[in-house]
Amino acid sequence: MANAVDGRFAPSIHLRVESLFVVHVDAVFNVAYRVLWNRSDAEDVVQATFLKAFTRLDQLADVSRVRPWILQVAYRESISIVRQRRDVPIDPATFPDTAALEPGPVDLLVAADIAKEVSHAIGRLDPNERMAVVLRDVEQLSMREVATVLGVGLSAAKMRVHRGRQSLRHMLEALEVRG
Amino acid sequence: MRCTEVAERLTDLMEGDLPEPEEAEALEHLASCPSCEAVLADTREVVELARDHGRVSLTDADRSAMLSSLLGAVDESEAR
Repeated sequence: MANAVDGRFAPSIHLRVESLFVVHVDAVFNVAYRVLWNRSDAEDVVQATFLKAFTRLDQLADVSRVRPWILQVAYRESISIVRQRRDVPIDPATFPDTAALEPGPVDLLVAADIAKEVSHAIGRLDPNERMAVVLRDVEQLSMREVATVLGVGLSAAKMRVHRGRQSLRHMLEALEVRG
Repeated sequence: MRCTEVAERLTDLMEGDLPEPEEAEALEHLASCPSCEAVLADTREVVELARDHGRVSLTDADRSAMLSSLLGAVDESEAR
Protein backbone atom coordinates (compact mmCIF):
# COMPACT_ATOMS: atom_id res chain seq x y z
CA MET A 1 0.00 0.00 0.00
CA ALA A 2 1.10 3.55 -0.59
CA ASN A 3 2.57 5.43 2.28
CA ALA A 4 -0.11 7.81 3.32
CA VAL A 5 2.12 9.92 5.50
CA ASP A 6 3.84 12.27 3.08
CA GLY A 7 3.96 15.29 5.33
CA ARG A 8 1.74 17.54 3.25
CA PHE A 9 -0.91 17.61 5.96
CA ALA A 10 -1.31 16.37 9.46
CA PRO A 11 -0.48 12.66 9.41
CA SER A 12 -3.45 11.93 11.62
CA ILE A 13 -5.87 12.91 8.85
CA HIS A 14 -4.16 10.71 6.29
CA LEU A 15 -3.92 7.86 8.73
CA ARG A 16 -7.58 8.12 9.65
CA VAL A 17 -8.64 8.20 6.01
CA GLU A 18 -6.30 5.33 5.17
CA SER A 19 -7.55 3.19 8.05
CA LEU A 20 -11.12 3.65 6.85
CA PHE A 21 -10.08 3.01 3.25
CA VAL A 22 -8.18 -0.19 3.99
CA VAL A 23 -11.12 -1.76 5.81
CA HIS A 24 -13.87 -0.82 3.36
CA VAL A 25 -12.37 -0.26 -0.10
CA ASP A 26 -13.04 -3.76 -1.43
CA ALA A 27 -16.70 -3.65 -0.39
CA VAL A 28 -17.19 -0.11 -1.72
CA PHE A 29 -15.56 -0.99 -5.04
CA ASN A 30 -17.61 -4.18 -5.29
CA VAL A 31 -20.91 -2.38 -4.75
CA ALA A 32 -19.99 0.33 -7.24
CA TYR A 33 -18.78 -2.14 -9.83
CA ARG A 34 -21.89 -4.29 -9.51
CA VAL A 35 -23.98 -1.25 -10.41
CA LEU A 36 -21.73 0.35 -13.03
CA TRP A 37 -19.79 -2.56 -14.62
CA ASN A 38 -16.89 -0.26 -15.29
CA ARG A 39 -13.71 -0.15 -13.25
CA SER A 40 -12.94 3.48 -13.96
CA ASP A 41 -16.41 4.63 -12.89
CA ALA A 42 -16.25 2.37 -9.84
CA GLU A 43 -12.93 3.97 -8.88
CA ASP A 44 -14.55 7.40 -9.15
CA VAL A 45 -17.27 6.20 -6.80
CA VAL A 46 -14.64 4.91 -4.39
CA GLN A 47 -13.05 8.34 -4.26
CA ALA A 48 -16.35 10.20 -3.91
CA THR A 49 -17.49 7.81 -1.20
CA PHE A 50 -14.37 8.09 0.92
CA LEU A 51 -14.21 11.85 0.47
CA LYS A 52 -17.72 12.04 1.84
CA ALA A 53 -16.76 9.71 4.65
CA PHE A 54 -13.69 11.85 5.32
CA THR A 55 -15.89 14.87 5.96
CA ARG A 56 -17.94 12.82 8.42
CA LEU A 57 -15.12 11.05 10.25
CA ASP A 58 -16.21 12.43 13.60
CA GLN A 59 -19.77 11.19 13.08
CA LEU A 60 -18.63 7.70 12.24
CA ALA A 61 -17.38 6.80 15.68
CA ASP A 62 -19.71 3.82 15.97
CA VAL A 63 -17.72 1.22 14.02
CA SER A 64 -20.68 -1.11 13.59
CA ARG A 65 -22.56 1.55 11.63
CA VAL A 66 -19.72 2.51 9.30
CA ARG A 67 -20.05 -0.36 6.82
CA PRO A 68 -23.77 0.12 6.00
CA TRP A 69 -23.36 3.89 5.96
CA ILE A 70 -20.43 3.83 3.60
CA LEU A 71 -22.03 1.25 1.30
CA GLN A 72 -25.20 3.32 1.17
CA VAL A 73 -23.13 6.31 0.02
CA ALA A 74 -21.38 4.14 -2.59
CA TYR A 75 -24.67 2.70 -3.82
CA ARG A 76 -26.31 6.11 -4.13
CA GLU A 77 -23.27 7.58 -5.89
CA SER A 78 -23.33 4.67 -8.34
CA ILE A 79 -27.05 4.95 -9.01
CA SER A 80 -26.60 8.67 -9.55
CA ILE A 81 -23.99 7.96 -12.26
CA VAL A 82 -26.29 5.44 -13.94
CA ARG A 83 -29.09 7.99 -14.00
CA GLN A 84 -26.82 10.68 -15.42
CA ARG A 85 -25.31 8.42 -18.05
CA ARG A 86 -27.49 6.00 -19.89
CA ASP A 87 -24.52 4.56 -21.78
CA VAL A 88 -23.32 2.39 -18.92
CA PRO A 89 -22.80 -1.14 -20.30
CA ILE A 90 -25.20 -3.62 -18.83
CA ASP A 91 -24.57 -6.63 -21.04
CA PRO A 92 -23.05 -9.34 -18.81
CA ALA A 93 -21.46 -10.92 -21.89
CA THR A 94 -19.18 -7.88 -22.07
CA PHE A 95 -18.08 -8.05 -18.45
CA PRO A 96 -14.34 -8.29 -17.95
CA ASP A 97 -12.99 -11.25 -16.02
CA THR A 98 -13.71 -10.08 -12.51
CA ALA A 99 -12.27 -13.15 -10.90
CA ALA A 100 -8.69 -13.03 -12.09
CA LEU A 101 -6.50 -14.89 -9.65
CA GLU A 102 -2.77 -15.38 -9.51
CA PRO A 103 -1.67 -18.42 -11.53
CA GLY A 104 -1.36 -21.41 -9.27
CA PRO A 105 -2.06 -25.09 -8.79
CA VAL A 106 -4.89 -26.86 -10.54
CA ASP A 107 -7.27 -26.37 -7.62
CA LEU A 108 -6.79 -22.63 -7.87
CA LEU A 109 -7.58 -22.73 -11.58
CA VAL A 110 -10.78 -24.59 -10.79
CA ALA A 111 -11.57 -22.00 -8.15
CA ALA A 112 -11.02 -19.26 -10.72
CA ASP A 113 -13.48 -20.92 -13.10
CA ILE A 114 -16.08 -21.18 -10.35
CA ALA A 115 -15.45 -17.58 -9.30
CA LYS A 116 -15.90 -16.43 -12.89
CA GLU A 117 -19.19 -18.29 -13.28
CA VAL A 118 -20.52 -17.05 -9.95
CA SER A 119 -19.50 -13.50 -10.79
CA HIS A 120 -21.17 -13.64 -14.19
CA ALA A 121 -24.31 -15.21 -12.73
CA ILE A 122 -24.54 -12.37 -10.21
CA GLY A 123 -24.18 -10.00 -13.15
CA ARG A 124 -27.18 -11.53 -14.88
CA LEU A 125 -29.49 -10.93 -11.93
CA ASP A 126 -32.14 -8.25 -12.00
CA PRO A 127 -30.35 -5.07 -10.77
CA ASN A 128 -32.41 -4.76 -7.59
CA GLU A 129 -32.02 -8.42 -6.72
CA ARG A 130 -28.35 -8.30 -7.63
CA MET A 131 -27.57 -5.51 -5.19
CA ALA A 132 -29.59 -7.19 -2.44
CA VAL A 133 -27.58 -10.41 -2.91
CA VAL A 134 -24.29 -8.50 -3.10
CA LEU A 135 -25.03 -6.66 0.14
CA ARG A 136 -26.42 -9.65 2.06
CA ASP A 137 -24.40 -12.60 0.80
CA VAL A 138 -21.19 -11.09 -0.56
CA GLU A 139 -20.72 -8.15 1.82
CA GLN A 140 -22.45 -9.92 4.70
CA LEU A 141 -24.64 -7.05 5.86
CA SER A 142 -27.58 -7.94 8.04
CA MET A 143 -30.98 -7.98 6.31
CA ARG A 144 -31.90 -4.80 8.18
CA GLU A 145 -28.72 -3.09 6.93
CA VAL A 146 -29.50 -4.26 3.39
CA ALA A 147 -32.90 -2.60 3.67
CA THR A 148 -31.28 0.61 4.93
CA VAL A 149 -28.70 0.73 2.13
CA LEU A 150 -31.32 0.06 -0.54
CA GLY A 151 -33.78 2.50 1.01
CA VAL A 152 -36.56 -0.08 1.15
CA GLY A 153 -38.49 -1.84 3.90
CA LEU A 154 -37.30 -5.05 5.52
CA SER A 155 -39.87 -7.19 3.70
CA ALA A 156 -38.86 -5.78 0.32
CA ALA A 157 -35.19 -6.39 1.09
CA LYS A 158 -35.91 -9.99 2.07
CA MET A 159 -37.94 -10.53 -1.09
CA ARG A 160 -35.13 -9.20 -3.27
CA VAL A 161 -32.57 -11.41 -1.53
CA HIS A 162 -34.89 -14.39 -1.80
CA ARG A 163 -35.55 -13.92 -5.51
CA GLY A 164 -31.92 -13.18 -6.23
CA ARG A 165 -30.75 -16.33 -4.45
CA GLN A 166 -33.27 -18.50 -6.26
CA SER A 167 -32.34 -16.99 -9.64
CA LEU A 168 -28.67 -17.62 -8.84
CA ARG A 169 -29.50 -21.17 -7.82
CA HIS A 170 -31.18 -21.84 -11.17
CA MET A 171 -28.35 -20.23 -13.15
CA LEU A 172 -25.58 -22.05 -11.31
CA GLU A 173 -27.52 -25.29 -11.47
CA ALA A 174 -27.68 -24.94 -15.26
CA LEU A 175 -23.93 -24.33 -15.33
CA GLU A 176 -23.31 -27.22 -12.95
CA VAL A 177 -21.15 -24.98 -10.78
CA ARG A 178 -22.70 -26.16 -7.56
CA GLY A 179 -21.73 -29.41 -5.96
CA MET B 1 -47.14 -26.96 5.44
CA ARG B 2 -46.96 -27.49 1.67
CA CYS B 3 -43.94 -27.22 -0.64
CA THR B 4 -44.95 -23.80 -2.00
CA GLU B 5 -45.40 -22.44 1.52
CA VAL B 6 -41.96 -23.69 2.52
CA ALA B 7 -40.43 -22.16 -0.62
CA GLU B 8 -41.99 -18.79 0.23
CA ARG B 9 -40.54 -18.96 3.73
CA LEU B 10 -37.06 -20.19 2.81
CA THR B 11 -35.29 -16.88 3.37
CA ASP B 12 -37.04 -16.23 6.67
CA LEU B 13 -36.13 -19.75 7.74
CA MET B 14 -32.48 -19.25 6.79
CA GLU B 15 -32.44 -15.90 8.60
CA GLY B 16 -33.99 -17.40 11.72
CA ASP B 17 -36.91 -15.02 11.33
CA LEU B 18 -39.79 -17.48 11.18
CA PRO B 19 -42.08 -17.41 14.21
CA GLU B 20 -41.89 -20.60 16.27
CA PRO B 21 -45.00 -22.44 15.05
CA GLU B 22 -44.15 -21.80 11.39
CA GLU B 23 -40.51 -22.75 11.86
CA ALA B 24 -41.48 -26.08 13.39
CA GLU B 25 -43.95 -26.74 10.56
CA ALA B 26 -41.37 -25.86 7.92
CA LEU B 27 -38.72 -28.07 9.51
CA GLU B 28 -41.19 -30.91 9.81
CA HIS B 29 -42.01 -30.60 6.11
CA LEU B 30 -38.32 -30.41 5.15
CA ALA B 31 -37.58 -33.57 7.13
CA SER B 32 -40.05 -35.50 5.01
CA CYS B 33 -39.65 -33.78 1.62
CA PRO B 34 -36.38 -34.53 -0.21
CA SER B 35 -37.24 -32.02 -2.92
CA CYS B 36 -37.64 -29.05 -0.52
CA GLU B 37 -34.66 -30.23 1.51
CA ALA B 38 -32.57 -30.18 -1.70
CA VAL B 39 -33.73 -26.65 -2.53
CA LEU B 40 -32.73 -25.48 0.96
CA ALA B 41 -29.33 -27.19 0.72
CA ASP B 42 -28.73 -25.78 -2.76
CA THR B 43 -29.73 -22.29 -1.65
CA ARG B 44 -27.29 -22.51 1.26
CA GLU B 45 -24.60 -23.58 -1.18
CA VAL B 46 -25.41 -20.62 -3.46
CA VAL B 47 -25.07 -18.27 -0.48
CA GLU B 48 -21.64 -19.75 0.26
CA LEU B 49 -20.58 -19.44 -3.38
CA ALA B 50 -21.65 -15.80 -3.48
CA ARG B 51 -19.81 -15.12 -0.23
CA ASP B 52 -16.63 -16.85 -1.40
CA HIS B 53 -16.58 -15.80 -5.06
CA GLY B 54 -18.91 -12.83 -5.48
CA ARG B 55 -16.44 -10.04 -4.90
CA VAL B 56 -14.73 -8.23 -7.74
CA SER B 57 -11.03 -8.74 -7.26
CA LEU B 58 -8.72 -5.83 -6.55
CA THR B 59 -4.94 -6.01 -6.57
CA ASP B 60 -2.68 -4.23 -4.11
CA ALA B 61 -1.67 -1.97 -7.01
CA ASP B 62 -5.35 -1.06 -7.59
CA ARG B 63 -5.84 -0.24 -3.92
CA SER B 64 -2.59 1.70 -3.73
CA ALA B 65 -3.46 3.82 -6.77
CA MET B 66 -6.94 4.56 -5.45
CA LEU B 67 -5.59 5.47 -2.01
CA SER B 68 -2.98 7.76 -3.47
CA SER B 69 -5.62 9.52 -5.55
CA LEU B 70 -7.94 9.75 -2.56
CA LEU B 71 -5.29 11.27 -0.29
CA GLY B 72 -4.50 13.82 -2.96
CA ALA B 73 -8.17 14.77 -3.07
CA VAL B 74 -8.25 14.95 0.73
CA ASP B 75 -5.30 17.35 0.66
CA GLU B 76 -7.05 19.49 -1.94
CA SER B 77 -10.20 19.51 0.14
CA GLU B 78 -8.23 20.50 3.24
CA ALA B 79 -6.39 23.27 1.39
CA ARG B 80 -9.62 24.98 0.38
